[in-house]
Amino acid sequence: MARPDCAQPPFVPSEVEGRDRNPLRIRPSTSLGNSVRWLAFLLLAMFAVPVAAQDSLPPAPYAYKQLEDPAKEKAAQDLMMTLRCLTCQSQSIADSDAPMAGDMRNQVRQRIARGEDPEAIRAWLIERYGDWVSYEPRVTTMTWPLFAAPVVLLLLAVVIVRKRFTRARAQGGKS
Amino acid sequence: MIAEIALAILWLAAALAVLQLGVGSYALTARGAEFLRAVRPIAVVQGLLVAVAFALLIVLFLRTDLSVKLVAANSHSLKPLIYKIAGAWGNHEGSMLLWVTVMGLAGGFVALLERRLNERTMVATLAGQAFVSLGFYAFMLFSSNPFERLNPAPVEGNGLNPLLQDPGLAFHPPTLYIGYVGLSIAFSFAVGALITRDVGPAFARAMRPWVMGAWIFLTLGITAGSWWAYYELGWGGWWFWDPVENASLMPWLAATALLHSVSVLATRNALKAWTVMLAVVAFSMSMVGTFLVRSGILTSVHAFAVDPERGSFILTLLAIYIGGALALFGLRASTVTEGAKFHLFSREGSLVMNNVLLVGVLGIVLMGTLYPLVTEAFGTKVSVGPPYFNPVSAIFVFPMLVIMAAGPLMRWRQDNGRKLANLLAAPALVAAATLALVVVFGGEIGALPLLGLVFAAGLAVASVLPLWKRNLRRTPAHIWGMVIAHLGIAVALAGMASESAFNTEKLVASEIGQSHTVGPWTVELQGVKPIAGANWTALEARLVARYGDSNVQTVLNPQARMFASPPTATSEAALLTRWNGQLYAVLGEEGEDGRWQLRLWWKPFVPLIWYGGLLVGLGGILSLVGRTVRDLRRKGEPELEPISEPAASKPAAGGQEALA
Repeated sequence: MARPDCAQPPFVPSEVEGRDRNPLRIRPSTSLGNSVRWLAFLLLAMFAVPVAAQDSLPPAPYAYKQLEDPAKEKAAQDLMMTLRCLTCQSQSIADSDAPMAGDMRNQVRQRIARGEDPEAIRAWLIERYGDWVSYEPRVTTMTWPLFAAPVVLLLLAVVIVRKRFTRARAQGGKS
Repeated sequence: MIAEIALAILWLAAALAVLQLGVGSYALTARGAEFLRAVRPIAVVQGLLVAVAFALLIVLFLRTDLSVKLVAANSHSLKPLIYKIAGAWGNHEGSMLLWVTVMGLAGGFVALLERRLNERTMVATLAGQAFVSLGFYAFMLFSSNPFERLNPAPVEGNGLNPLLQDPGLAFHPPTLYIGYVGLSIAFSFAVGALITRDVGPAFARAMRPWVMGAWIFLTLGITAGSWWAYYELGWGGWWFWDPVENASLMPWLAATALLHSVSVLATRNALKAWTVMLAVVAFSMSMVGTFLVRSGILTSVHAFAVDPERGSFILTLLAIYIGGALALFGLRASTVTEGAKFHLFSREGSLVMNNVLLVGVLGIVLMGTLYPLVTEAFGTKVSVGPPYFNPVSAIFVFPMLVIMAAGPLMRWRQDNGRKLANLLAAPALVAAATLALVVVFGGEIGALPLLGLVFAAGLAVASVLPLWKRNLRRTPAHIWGMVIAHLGIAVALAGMASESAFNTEKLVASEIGQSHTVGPWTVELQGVKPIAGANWTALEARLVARYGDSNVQTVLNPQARMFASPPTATSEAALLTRWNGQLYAVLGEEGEDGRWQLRLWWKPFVPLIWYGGLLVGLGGILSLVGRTVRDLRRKGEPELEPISEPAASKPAAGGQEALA
């Protein structure tokens, strides 16, 4: 586990570079990092929870604490598995030890505890951080090919198999 | 000196690859026949030279020669010996050198040993192989020279990323690379056979061991990578559909399809064009994988745009090889005959259907991996993760599992279905019983894990049915191989489904002496103490675990490690494996109140995932050995009817069908 902050991305085989000519590798982009921090600040200010995405302060109450109700914890867990940690590479917030992921877990758990719908929480997070935060792509004008692909591939598979075998049968019948 | 000598040897090897391509191409023309014999020795020497260059790189790492830039950037004098060696390929330049080394050695090996194939096809194959390696030589010599000097030399090296300092990972990248490169040999065979219009059983038999070998390495590499992610990253996950993981999965999917197709071609003389096509696709996927992993495009399209040199190089190579191969395929497709005919309801028919479905899964994974890059280029960042890949790939995988259960029980050419229906009653019953059991006792679980458990149970039974009423001692090794590999898929699937269905997690802030329950376990934190290793210090917890009411106590020691160079914190999870699952413990931070963060998981049957992967690999090895021994024993005599013999230089150009 890449602990407190995952400056070292987890899937290192690709990342261990001889010359790190590009500091951008570490974070998706500096401007994103900044705006994310800014948003996190706003967000926290809004709820007046005395925590911020800084290492010096203790983690948010529900960052490392499970909800009492197992059903609610499961719902929170399922949701957290599908949300991206914005400071790490390819980790969900459930798996990340970055402070920011801890804050997001805290948010998710508290909202679930208050009885909010997981999908509403997802929508709320997407509204703040963009589609990037959710591993579950939505159908939009931008992403529809992702959902068309399986249908097209299935149709193609049927066509290929049909073509191959109707022909074989026709020829087999003749010979 | 060593670095300069190694670089000179590398240039020499590259020059020999040029020669191999030139002489090989000339030898194939009408006037050049006398040069045919020159190509094999060139290939052997080229392979030896590049291997020497790679050995010298390892020597540089062993001596921690910090005046070499690559060593300074990736090694450290205090690093344990095994990681000094592994450091040679745990980076971009070194891994590219490893790539051409494996490729050169494999080419030399083919040149030395392969005697069954028509000599002209052989030479065309070696020329094609030289063409592919040349791209990588150029890439290395012009944009990522592993032997570059650093002046002045630093006093100490940077060290290797601690996450890589793990025995599993030291050998994970080379395993995958050998797999990738094996597919490049299969690709060269396909190109060679297309050039000399020689796509037939002899070609398939020459190519098959390489496809199988590559597939075995890919299988084991993916299994090892998943295991490494599971215990080294410390979050208890084993697969996240991460682009880097997908990069290794895609060649495996294509190789799996190719493996089955090439076997049909070798033994039944059918599926000719389809096999060639899959060989091209499989190699394309290993190139796409290399591109994704090596170009830096995965972190961000912008990162790629800032430093596009390497990525563009690989992308250009990809375009040349794949474009070239497809153009050649287009030109020669009409000369590839359709091959033996068969009915849809036959063993070949089920293989074709599963091949198509495998390619379908491949399409989904490719789409899901590349699409975020496309949208990012248009300014929208989206994430595609497990919530997309799991259900969408399931659409293809579950039908595939059914066909996989039935296919090996069918007859070649045409099956009447009567015997099949009797045989399949047993797995169907077992699947139904599993469904009932899980629904009644399994509690609330998702649809996909439920289906996974049911299909795994059915497939496990069906996979051993090909041995039904056979004389087990006289059953050929490749049948055993198939049975074991298919069983391995069922076992791995059971592990995956069980992990997602029955996983329990406990997060606690624990005082010393406090006990916690997770699943059937009671775990007590007895203490935390500091310890030190060669290049790290750590806090190590002492956990005592008891299963159920049992009095047997087992000690677990999860560690939170701090590496000095480069400064990185890692977690060493502690695992306790029982026959029915694994207890997984991770030590976290100490809170201000003196309580320790603990993460405990109980993961029922999770080790089945990797046992399954190993079984699949073992099945592959058995099959490879069995087939090779058989092929060698039959050397010289045609396995099939004379029509399929490659000696007839040009098969009747009749079949226009691309998919045959």
